Amino acid sequence: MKKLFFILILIYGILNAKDNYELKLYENILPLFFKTDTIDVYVDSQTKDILKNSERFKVVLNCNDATLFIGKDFSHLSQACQEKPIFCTSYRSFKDNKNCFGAFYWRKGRPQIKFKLDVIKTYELQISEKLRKYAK
Amino acid sequence: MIEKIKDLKATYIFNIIAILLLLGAFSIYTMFEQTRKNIVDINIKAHIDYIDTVTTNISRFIKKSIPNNLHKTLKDDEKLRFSIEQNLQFFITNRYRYIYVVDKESIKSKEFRFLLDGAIDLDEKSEFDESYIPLNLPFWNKVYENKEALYFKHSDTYAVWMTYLKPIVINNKVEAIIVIDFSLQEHDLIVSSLDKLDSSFEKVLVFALFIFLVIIIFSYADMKRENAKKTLYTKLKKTNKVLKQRTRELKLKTKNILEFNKTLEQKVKNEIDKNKLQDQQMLQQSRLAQMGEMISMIAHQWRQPLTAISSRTNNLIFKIMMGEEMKRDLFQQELSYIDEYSQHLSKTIDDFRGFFKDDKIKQKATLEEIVKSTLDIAQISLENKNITMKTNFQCNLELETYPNEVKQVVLNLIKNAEDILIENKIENPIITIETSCDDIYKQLIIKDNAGGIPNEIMLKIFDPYFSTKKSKNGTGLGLYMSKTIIEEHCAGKLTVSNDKDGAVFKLVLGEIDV
Repeated sequence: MKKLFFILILIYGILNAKDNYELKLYENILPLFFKTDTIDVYVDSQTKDILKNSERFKVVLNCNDATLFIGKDFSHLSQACQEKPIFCTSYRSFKDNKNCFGAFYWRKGRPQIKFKLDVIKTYELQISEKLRKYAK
Repeated sequence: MIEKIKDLKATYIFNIIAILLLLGAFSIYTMFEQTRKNIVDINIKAHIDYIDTVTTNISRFIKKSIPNNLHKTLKDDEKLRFSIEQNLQFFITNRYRYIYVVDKESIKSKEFRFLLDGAIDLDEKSEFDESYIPLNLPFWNKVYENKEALYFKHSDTYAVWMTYLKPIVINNKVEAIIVIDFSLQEHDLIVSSLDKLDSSFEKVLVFALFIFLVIIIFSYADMKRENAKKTLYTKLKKTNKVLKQRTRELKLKTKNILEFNKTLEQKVKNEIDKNKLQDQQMLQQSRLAQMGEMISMIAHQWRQPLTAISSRTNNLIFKIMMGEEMKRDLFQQELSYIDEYSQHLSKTIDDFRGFFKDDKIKQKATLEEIVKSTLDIAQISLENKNITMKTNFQCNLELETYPNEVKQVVLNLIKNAEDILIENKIENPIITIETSCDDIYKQLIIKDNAGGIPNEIMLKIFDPYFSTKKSKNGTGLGLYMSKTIIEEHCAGKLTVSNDKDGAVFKLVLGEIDV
């Protein structure tokens, strides 16, 4: 019983650590593109959990109110919403979605971060020098 | 042998046991550490050997399937790629989680790209040519440079994983890298168990060390205590010996003291009696001496009346011989003269007899009466020696005392003054007697003009048998007896001093604090 309890705490800690890792990364990177302290974001359910304790992201329920989308797939949204910049959370969405200007995802247990310079330019976003090495 | 062991102190045996325990614990700990290291090394080596065998086989299979131009062939031949990936999937287990093949577009490129991926889960499966930046990039580049397999532990991830990198070398060129991420969970469980055991051993070792230290400290304290005990015992033994000796001596002394005490009382009594007898003898001696002088004085006193009696009787005898008719009146007159002289002689005898009579009870008398009575005896002797006697009586109060004893003292002091005045041949010898008194004290001073008592003998003159006139038959008892009579019998005080003319003897009677 004690062992099980210990393992549960460990798993919770690991998962929470991963979420915290992603939240920190989002908070450190994404505001650099928008030059604002807080960003109104529309997110998928998985990302919603990650951002729930964030002070720099305000999760909106209406995609029209959002400045940025964070998630894997937003193809079900209205056309107007689909025109907004997306920060993807998988390689496939990063590769396939023309509005995705960057992505963060895990591959083989390793974090991966990527940016598309042309999309950034389209949305007139500013990319900092330290992130440019991840951009193509 | 057994006796020798018994003789050994428990402390030393404990010390030896403690050292052996500590050495044993330390040896076991060292052995365990070595074994632990061996187990860990062997376990890791077994993993690596197995993975190396697997990757070598995969590499051989890929090289056989694609002899050259690996990237292009795989890009063009999706079926071949699928087939090889299916083969890779056979090796996927919980322990060997990821098996994939990556290459670099160019040797300088920072990014790798996926060529083959054995992942079964589609979410985890990477796409062909998907760019990929691995963690611990230097290790990956090192494989490209050295063309040799290597492995490393993920130090910056939360999972317990290791990565094995095996280069696929074709024509002495690294075409790709086979990557296997494998779990160290089982290994870590072993290591963790060993760590726990290690920790337990460490605790045992620390405990053994603690016990050792405690035993050493106790041993040291016990040794000190033993030494102190020995020293104390030796001291006690010595002290006991001395005490025994002293007890023996004390017993002997006590016995002597007890014996002495038994006889002490008798001795003291004897001594007191002896002293009393001595005093009586001395008093007697003094009186005899004084009586000698008295006889001389009586002789002086009697000379004149005896001469007168002789003259009167001779005159009568001569007249009878001459046949003169004796008138009755003349004869009667002559006889009355003779009677008067006889009365005088008788009175003189009474005076002297009274002088030497012991006083049994105190009587009332004035100092003047005492002095006059004394002078009646001494006056003739003084006149014969042309010594002037001056008196100055200022006290007429009576006092209760032993008059005859005081008279003896006064007479003794007058006679001493007389002797010294004659001895020093003083031109105008004078003896002065003064009396004075108040409500409490009656004072009598007898002084002369003989020059005084030398300071060196001043303190000795009241000592018994001390005399400056031994050549003139001085007994040395006069002043001693005078002081004894005044201070012990009459409760007075007799002191001496010198004035400008001579010695001054002061006699104080009455209520005197001695």
